[in-house]
Amino acid sequence: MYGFLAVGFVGYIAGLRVDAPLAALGIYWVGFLGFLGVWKGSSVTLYDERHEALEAEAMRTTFGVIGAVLILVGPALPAVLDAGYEVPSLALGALYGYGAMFGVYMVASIAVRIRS
Amino acid sequence: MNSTTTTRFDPTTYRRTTFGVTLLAALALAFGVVFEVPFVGIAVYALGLVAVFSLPAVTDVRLFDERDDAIARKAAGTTLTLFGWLSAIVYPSLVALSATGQFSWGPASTAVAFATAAVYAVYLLALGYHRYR
Repeated sequence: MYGFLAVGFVGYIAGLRVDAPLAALGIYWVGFLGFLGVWKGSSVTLYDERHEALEAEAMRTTFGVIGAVLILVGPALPAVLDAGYEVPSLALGALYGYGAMFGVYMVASIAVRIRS
Repeated sequence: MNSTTTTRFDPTTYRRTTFGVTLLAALALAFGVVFEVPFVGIAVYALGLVAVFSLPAVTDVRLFDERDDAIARKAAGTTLTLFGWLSAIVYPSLVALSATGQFSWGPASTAVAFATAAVYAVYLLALGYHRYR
């Protein structure tokens, strides 16, 4: 499964380096679809409950970090702009990206709560 | 005679208070930006968040139980999975298209790409932390 993914990534990067972007994309998709085929098509249990619990805890920690970034950095923006500084587009884009992700998280929370 | 202890508020009241104060803080921040009084907005926002984060420390009721934890984990899983699928499908195509000259990376798309990569880097770190803790 990870072999497919590795072949996809390495082929993709190699394709881009030799200026063959469409071939690179094709190799990536072959690798990615191979990965999916093994993951979803295998009758073997690839991940047990412990792994799923670890993933769930790691995902929650990740959202804790995103939330902390938004809470701490977001409010500084108006002050920085008011002080006459220009906020780089890269920083603004990243913040909007985190905001969108947290928005989806809130919607997912409400949906899960209603369904449970 | 049996003695019972009572609290004035139940967890639902505290949770609603937390949500209400957080919403108020966010609105105050937006108000500050719109009406060009950023420091007023930031001050109200900071006060609101201090109140929200202080609430669990000053109350003797449990605000969030196992069900809330399970919902948070499931919602986080759904969101990261959604963004993971989108990233796996969209970004390689954008890189390939940019190589053929049919797409160019602007500041916003670059920022979102790096922000997404940073999120998954945090996720991998968190996974490693929880695995080896």
